[in-house]
Amino acid sequence: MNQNEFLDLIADELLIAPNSVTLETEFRQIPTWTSLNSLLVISKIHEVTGIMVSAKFIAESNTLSDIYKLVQHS
Amino acid sequence: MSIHQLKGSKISTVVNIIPAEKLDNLQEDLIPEAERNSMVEHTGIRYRRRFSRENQSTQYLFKMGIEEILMLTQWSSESVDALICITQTPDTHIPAVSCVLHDEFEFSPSMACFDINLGCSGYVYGLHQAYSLLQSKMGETGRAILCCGDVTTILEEGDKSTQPIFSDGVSVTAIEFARDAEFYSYFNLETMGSGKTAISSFYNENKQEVMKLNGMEVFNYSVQFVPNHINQLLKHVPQSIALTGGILHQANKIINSAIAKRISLTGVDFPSTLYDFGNMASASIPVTLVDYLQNKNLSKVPPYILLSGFGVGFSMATAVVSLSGDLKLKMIEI
Repeated sequence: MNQNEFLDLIADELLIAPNSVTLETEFRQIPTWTSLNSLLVISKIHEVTGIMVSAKFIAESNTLSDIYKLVQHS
Repeated sequence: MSIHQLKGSKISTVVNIIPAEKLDNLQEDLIPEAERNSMVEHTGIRYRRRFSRENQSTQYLFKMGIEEILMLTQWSSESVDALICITQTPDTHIPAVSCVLHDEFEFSPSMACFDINLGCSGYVYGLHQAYSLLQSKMGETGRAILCCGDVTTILEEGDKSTQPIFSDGVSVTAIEFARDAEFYSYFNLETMGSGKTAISSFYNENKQEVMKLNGMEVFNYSVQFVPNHINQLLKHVPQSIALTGGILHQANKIINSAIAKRISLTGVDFPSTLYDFGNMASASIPVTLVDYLQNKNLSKVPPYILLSGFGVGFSMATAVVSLSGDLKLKMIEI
């Protein structure tokens, strides 16, 4: 998954404009990052890449880049 | 995996007791107005059910269900061999609810009674326990009653992750055994204890027990382990067995859809009752079973059904059980 595909996926699931986030964005600062929407994000990532992002990993991460590093080679 | 094959038992009657009162998540103040539609769309849960406070007693509700079961089956109380109660919200922890109900109904002293502390996997574990007991008991026939369900009294007021999801509800099932019956049931019982923190309870500063749920962790465990758990069982079920449908524990739409997509079955329905009933913990499987089957002609559908419960523990139990053409089903709203 390349960077643009990843950011589009995030924007789609969080119902925000496609260009409103970058890899440096701290995901908890996105107004629509709710517990439900975060679940939709990891569900979609799992569907597209087969990679399961764990609750522990999300708790220890800050930026979208942290998540992208996990999925970029999928 | 832990695969079991049992012979001769079948579900004869299922009675569900659910609250008539519906709480609408589109009117729920806990959820910001802008998020309500999305919440309902993605969890699949529009309404959740609550008994009135005086009815929020699993013991009282189990008693009501057993009365109804004895009436529908015409069983005498001394003819029942086992009573199993599955709940994580008993009125009191000591003695076991099943022992209290044994006294209330004046069941026979030769009856086996015990409780099981399980949540969403509980119904299938209970069926396995009942089927095993009846098959191992001396004699040609046997009868068991299985009660399951919970009330939402341990949810914290104002908790956005649990209040809009969970409903009250109980179910009581009558199970019959005949040694000469030729049908088999198949079970897979498994546990991933490392997921114990996904759903757990603790005592707050007011010394009240409250339940917390980590939705992402529940998703992680459900999607990583449940499809394989179900698929392992299906590999051990004879290919000649035709399934009417698959009843999954009703967790939420995101989890259930993700699991259904990964199960190696084609052309099988996975019905949902999430929209109207929410997540009824261990009662969600029998509630969905009754909702799904009550308008079907049971003599014209394939005679087996898949039941799969998963959740708190992290505990998983899946069964393929036979359906009898004379199965009695009842949904009572109070």
